Amino acid sequence: MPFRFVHTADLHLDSPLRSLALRNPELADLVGDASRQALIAIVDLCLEEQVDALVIAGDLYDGEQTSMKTARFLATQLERLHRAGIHVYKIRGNHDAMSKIARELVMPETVKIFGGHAEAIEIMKDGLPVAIHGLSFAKPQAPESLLPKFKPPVAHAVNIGIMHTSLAGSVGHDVYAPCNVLDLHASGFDYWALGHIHQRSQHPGTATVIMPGMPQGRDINESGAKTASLVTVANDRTITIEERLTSVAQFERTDVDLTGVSEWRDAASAIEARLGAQRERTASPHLVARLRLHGRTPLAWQLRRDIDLMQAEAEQRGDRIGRTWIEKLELDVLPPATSAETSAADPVIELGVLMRDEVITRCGFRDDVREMVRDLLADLPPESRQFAGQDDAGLEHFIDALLIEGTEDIAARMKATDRGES
Amino acid sequence: MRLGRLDLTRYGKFTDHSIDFGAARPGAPDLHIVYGLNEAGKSTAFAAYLDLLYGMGDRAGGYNFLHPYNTMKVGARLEFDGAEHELVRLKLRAGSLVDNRGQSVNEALLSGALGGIGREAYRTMFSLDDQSLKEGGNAIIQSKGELGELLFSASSGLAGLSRSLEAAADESGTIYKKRSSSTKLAELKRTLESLKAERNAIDTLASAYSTLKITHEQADAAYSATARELAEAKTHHQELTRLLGALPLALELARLRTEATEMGDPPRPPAEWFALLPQLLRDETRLQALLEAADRSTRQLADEIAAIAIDENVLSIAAHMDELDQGRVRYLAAEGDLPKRRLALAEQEGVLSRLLTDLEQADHGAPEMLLLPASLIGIIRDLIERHSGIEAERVAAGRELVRIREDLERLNREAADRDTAGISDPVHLSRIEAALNRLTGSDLMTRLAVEERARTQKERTQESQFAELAPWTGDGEALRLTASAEPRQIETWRSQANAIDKRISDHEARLRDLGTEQALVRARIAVFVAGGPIDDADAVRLRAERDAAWQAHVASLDVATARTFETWMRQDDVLSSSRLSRAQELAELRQLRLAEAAAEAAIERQRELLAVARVEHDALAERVGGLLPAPFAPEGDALERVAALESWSSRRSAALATWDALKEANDTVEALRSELARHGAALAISLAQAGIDVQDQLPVDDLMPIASDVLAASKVGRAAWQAHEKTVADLTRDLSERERDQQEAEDTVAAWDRAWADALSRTWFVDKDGSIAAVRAILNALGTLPAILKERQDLAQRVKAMERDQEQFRTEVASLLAECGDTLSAGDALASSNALAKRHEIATRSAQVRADRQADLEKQLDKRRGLEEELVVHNARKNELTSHFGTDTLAAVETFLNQARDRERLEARMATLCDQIAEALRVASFAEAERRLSAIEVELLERDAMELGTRIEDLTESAKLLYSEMSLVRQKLEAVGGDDAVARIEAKRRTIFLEIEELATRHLTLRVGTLAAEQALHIYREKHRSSMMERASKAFRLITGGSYSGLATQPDKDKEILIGLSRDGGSKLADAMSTGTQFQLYLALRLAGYEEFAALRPPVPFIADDIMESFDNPRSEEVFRLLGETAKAGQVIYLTHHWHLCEIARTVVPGVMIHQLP
Repeated sequence: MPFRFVHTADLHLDSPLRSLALRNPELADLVGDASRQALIAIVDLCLEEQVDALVIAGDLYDGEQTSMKTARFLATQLERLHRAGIHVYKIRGNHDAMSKIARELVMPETVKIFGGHAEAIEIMKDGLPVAIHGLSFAKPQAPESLLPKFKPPVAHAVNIGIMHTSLAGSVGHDVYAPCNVLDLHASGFDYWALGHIHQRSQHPGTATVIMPGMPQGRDINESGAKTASLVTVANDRTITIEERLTSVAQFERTDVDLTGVSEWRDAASAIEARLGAQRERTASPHLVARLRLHGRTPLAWQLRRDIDLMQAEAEQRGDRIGRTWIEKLELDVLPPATSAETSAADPVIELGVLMRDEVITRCGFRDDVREMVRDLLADLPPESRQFAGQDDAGLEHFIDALLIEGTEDIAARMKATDRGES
Repeated sequence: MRLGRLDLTRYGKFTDHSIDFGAARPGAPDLHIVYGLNEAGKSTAFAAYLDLLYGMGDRAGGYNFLHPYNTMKVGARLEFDGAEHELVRLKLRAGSLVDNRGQSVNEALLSGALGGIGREAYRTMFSLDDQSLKEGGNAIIQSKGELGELLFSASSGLAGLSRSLEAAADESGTIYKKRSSSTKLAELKRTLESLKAERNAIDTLASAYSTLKITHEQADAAYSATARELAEAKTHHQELTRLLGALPLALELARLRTEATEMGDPPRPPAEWFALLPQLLRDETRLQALLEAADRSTRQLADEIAAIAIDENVLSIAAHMDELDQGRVRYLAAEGDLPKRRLALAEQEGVLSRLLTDLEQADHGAPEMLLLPASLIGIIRDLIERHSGIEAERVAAGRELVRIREDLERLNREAADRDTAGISDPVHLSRIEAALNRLTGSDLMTRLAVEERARTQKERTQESQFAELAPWTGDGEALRLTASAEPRQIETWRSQANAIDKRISDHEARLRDLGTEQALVRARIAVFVAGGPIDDADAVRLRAERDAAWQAHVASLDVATARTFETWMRQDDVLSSSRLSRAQELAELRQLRLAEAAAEAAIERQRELLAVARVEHDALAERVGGLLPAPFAPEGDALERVAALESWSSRRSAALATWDALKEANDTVEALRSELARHGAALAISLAQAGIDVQDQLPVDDLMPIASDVLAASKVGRAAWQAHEKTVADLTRDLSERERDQQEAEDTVAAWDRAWADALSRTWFVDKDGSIAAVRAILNALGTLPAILKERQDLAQRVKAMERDQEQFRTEVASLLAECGDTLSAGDALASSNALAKRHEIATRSAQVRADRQADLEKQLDKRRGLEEELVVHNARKNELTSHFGTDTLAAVETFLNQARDRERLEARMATLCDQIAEALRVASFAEAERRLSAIEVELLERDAMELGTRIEDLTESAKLLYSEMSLVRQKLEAVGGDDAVARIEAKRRTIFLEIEELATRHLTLRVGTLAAEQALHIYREKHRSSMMERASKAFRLITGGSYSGLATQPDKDKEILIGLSRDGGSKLADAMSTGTQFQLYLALRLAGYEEFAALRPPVPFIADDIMESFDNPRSEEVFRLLGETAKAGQVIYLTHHWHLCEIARTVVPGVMIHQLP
């Protein structure tokens, strides 16, 4: 009988999904607790496959979570494993180190939480010696590599290392125990169970190095199907990896080309067709799509004006396909080239040109807009201020976009209203 | 671009129609009017033109009703870039634009010529119709006269600009407004707050959880300690209680020990004796009593047996007793029956001899010989029955024959007597019938009656209608000659009269108004004059006086003239200064003088007009009055006369109509009468031909019944003769049938007579064949003979059998008596047998009684033997007991046994007490317990127990409190739970944060957009104002016919507002103008916009679609003049269905080209 375990990381329990699609109460009801459903799926997987252990490579909690309900939920799930005799090996990641709830919870004795000093647990599985090494983040940040602090591999045993690391070169993650993949391969360990990066990756080499990714994406930037790894160490020490789906909802960007489409109805059909195709490619139970409409179409102005209607249309189509939800429509459409601004004969175009070239380029105008943005931001909850940029440069960038979008939108309104309806 | 020719090859209702606009004529306005009635296809032509430029869309505007989509085709000659282009548009997905050779043409050719203007932009910029004019007027109101917006919407044709800007601003306002609590953002923020509160209510934070945990541990420890202490106290208290409980037991034990010592040690019997003794006592008495009773019974039974005696003789014949019984029954039955049977036999013999006598065979020795075979009797009876029927048939046939012969004879006699006269010739009859039918078959009579009634009605109507004409009198012919007028003519006169009346009243009103105005002006002049001489006339007069004085002074140069001059000069100065100081009044006075003169002129004009109208009125009244006939006198004004004429005309035509109707009715009645008379004559002739004498000229009503009677009489005669002939033929046929029937009846009778003789020859009464009645009586009597013979034989046999039974019984009784030894009572057999039976019964009963007693005796003896055995056993046990205690009675034994039992009870109680005490003190042996009890101090012990009780109560209370504290904390811990309520609230909040971001971005986008648009409009205004304002101002002046002298602007905050300058120097805000003026302003702006466009880049045709529906002729003239001006800048095409507009255009713009649609 080989030694088998499930490897996961970065669950971020009870960290909410970030999507406007959740404005739909139906969807909110279905996936509002997606991170919990992912954990349940992982525990179910352990029980179904009758594995020997569950390895969690850090960030079980989200640092911001303070509710003991989260901890109690975790305890219930680990209790299920405990009753089935399945061991849990867990290290703390940067988020866990911040977490206040982790300390208060009493874990069953089958749960091993590695501390700030390296440890190695040796076990014997049907004549196969296995050593499990772990080292936790003691503080939220660890600027140095943790690899040298691990104990040396146990001779004749299969050595499994659990580590939370940004790996070398992962942009924006530098203070989280950076570490070179080559060093991992050279360490003499057989399997490196990593955590921290939310996108799954496998690093080929002497050792098996797996970054499993999170089991449930939380927003469009954590798109794609999410999985956990089912690892089998055979008696001859060969290691096999299987990916198992854990995400209940899956975020996807979907592009829809509207080039040459001139009827509203046809545009909606094109969206439906693309959504249908995306749905077929989507493994998770629920698809949350962010649509980007692009191409040259006579509908460009109307789409810009009536984007709400098209969003409703898309939502209805998604509903028809089933388990397909629309997060947002992004517009990247242009009017057909034939009516290009070769001449300013059309007063509407002339006015648009005036706005673009003369009005918004004025310094005073830009100052007014900046003032307007700042006023508004001051009146918003702090959690809702990031959209206007994190810093001054970000704010200017936002204002640039605002000036373009604002003039385009108003031009679309002027153009489309009377002409479209007369 | 210019449209040279438009080919509507296959489009809408058009097939191969072309509108040729010709070549442009330099210097002449390029103005075209396309004239066509409603539905002629003006809009279709415009749509076709746009389709040519931009292609036929997917739906092609619904112009496929004649030509299917795929065959639709539009062509044109377009002039641009200095060249002519022949182009054709087809309905195709791609390559739909081709040249006149069918070669595909690049769309860029057209889009370049159009300057990138799209289809909708073309429609809004370069076409104008009633609807867009109205919307433009509204736009002026909505923009509040803002110049930038007006110029923009005039150039672009976009009327809803202000509306869309406002809508965008409103939308941004609903999302966010500073310090407003009703915006979407404010609402979301409130939701966030409430979610936060909700979360706080149900959530437990980690820190709170750890506090709870510590509290729980402390409470748990405190409770455990108290509980332990309580348990100890309780244990100790129980021990004390047990000790105190053991003390009374020890006292009792001591008392019992003393008792036991006093009692000593009596002998101890076996335990079972206690139960045995009462048994023995009872048995002793019982056994003695039973033995005595048994002896008594035995003796009594033996005595009884000896007393019973038995008749043995009778018992020996018991076997014959049953036979004897049967014999006696038969004997008794025969004794009763025998006399009756013998009597019946004798009666039967009597009956037989009477029958034989009836048969005339009285002493016949063997009556059986008289019986006949059954078959013979049947034949004879059958013949008798048939005889009467055959006889009756023969008689009936004879009677019928006679009757028919008599009938036939009578009919022949009647035929000879028949009257052969009185039957008319059928030819005549049919003629009379035909004539009569013609009369009765037609509805002439009815119609005549109806028409005569109608005529009477019409006469009455006619009379009343003519009476209505009073005072005019005369008949219809005279009436037809009077003058009259057509209703249409009357209507014309009435409207003329009305118009004239209206004019008169208008003029009069105007005169009144002018009079009032004049009076007002004069009054105001008077006021000014009263205020001192400032009048121009005064000034001129004074100046003249002054000048004259100066001339006089110059001539003489003396003091007097100087004084005079000075005086005049002073006066002049005073007046001048007064005029100077009252310049305002002076100006007004001048104005008033002008007004006065104008009013006077107007009054004069109105008077003239009034006179003209009155003359017209009188002429009309004269003309109408002349049309009334003689007795009527024309009176009243024109309108009244028109009414009178109308009334007369209508009454006249009504009367004439009734006159004509009456004449018509008379003619109809006459025609009907003559036809009726013709039919009557024909009938009379036919009657005469048939020889019926009728009077000449008999009325039709009298002729008809005569003819009917003649026809009816002829028909009755003919029917009677036919009936007679038919009866004779029937009777002749009957006669032969009857004769045949009679022959058959005679044959049947003969056959019967033969059969009768034959049957009787086989009987003993053949001599009776003459009388059927005799034979029938013999047969009936003979029928009873067999039954009588049989009855007699049966009775004789039965009497014989009974006599035999009686004899046998007597013999039997005698033999039995002999056997019993009874020889004395053999006399009467019946009595003897009864006595024998009685003796037998008594003997049997006695034998039974003796056997029963014997059995009882045996039983008694057995019982006594059992009792004796029991007594032996009993005595043995008794001896055992008495010998043990050394006594001889059981009573003594009982006393000993009681003593032994008391002793045992005492010992048992003592043992129990020892055990209880040992148990109470929780020690193994009583000895140990006794030792401890002896060491106890009772009072001390009781006090300790009391104290301990109180302590236990205290401890119980505090343990309870601690327990509830602990469980409260534990509940709180457990209530934390692992549910996802908090996570879901957090998810909701996260979504709301995102929503806020989205809404905020949307708000900012809208705000920036509207801000930018407003500023862009200012720039647009600056760019276009000078050229457009000049054009629009000129156009507006023209269109308003000079009511406005032009347009100007006026700053208003950061805006600039358009105002109209009225002719009198006033100004009016654009949004304060009347609706009609706003349309005109918009039109002026649009035309200016077009000229602005045409001035900057090559123009495109401008299409106007009947925009002058609501304009009067002078306005229309001005607009066409303006369009003619515009048409110098570019081609202008005007679509209309009003021909008068074409005529106006032709006068105003002589070079206009008019194209007519089919």
